[in-house]
Amino acid sequence: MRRRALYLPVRAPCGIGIDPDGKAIETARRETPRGLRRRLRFEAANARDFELPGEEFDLALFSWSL
Amino acid sequence: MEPEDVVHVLRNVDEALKPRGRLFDIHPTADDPPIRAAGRGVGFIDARRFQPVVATTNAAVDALVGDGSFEDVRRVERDVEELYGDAEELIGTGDEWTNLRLPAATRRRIRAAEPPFQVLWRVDFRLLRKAGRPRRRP
Repeated sequence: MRRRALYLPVRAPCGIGIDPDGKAIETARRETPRGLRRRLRFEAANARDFELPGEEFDLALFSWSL
Repeated sequence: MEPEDVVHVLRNVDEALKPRGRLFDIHPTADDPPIRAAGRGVGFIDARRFQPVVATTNAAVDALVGDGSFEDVRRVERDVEELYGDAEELIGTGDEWTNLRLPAATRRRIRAAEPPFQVLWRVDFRLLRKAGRPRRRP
């Protein structure tokens, strides 16, 4: 499957998107609606090593590619 | 993602989630996805090398459920159709896959067929909930 963003309703106060593919991250930043940009952060990183704040998130989407 | 990475990623996710937080695991199954053009089959994607990745990941998630870290909320499989506008888009995407392969005969049939192309993925959607904080003893 191609890497693709999940177009889910964004009601969360904030979110972080991680993908090892820098081009995918650039696309995500570019296509994020202006109104959501302050609340969403995108990082090119491997989810294995990326340091996340402890017990901070209500929901994690684990959508892995081929 | 390599199988050995899965356990580390899930540990990372577990630590980042609040108690009772939800984990939504989404991935294709290890079935060979069929490719169609103009309503006719042109071949299958070879998913044999993907099978151990799926098995390892499912086992890692099952282990989280087994040790009480998470509970299953709901799990469903659905068919997801992906469209490709021309043969080179599909073949070029296939070249980027790590654990899937477009067999040579399938590539030939794709190049000989009329676009667009449909790839039918079987996708596993699994929603889990993290356990609450353990109660402190008085």
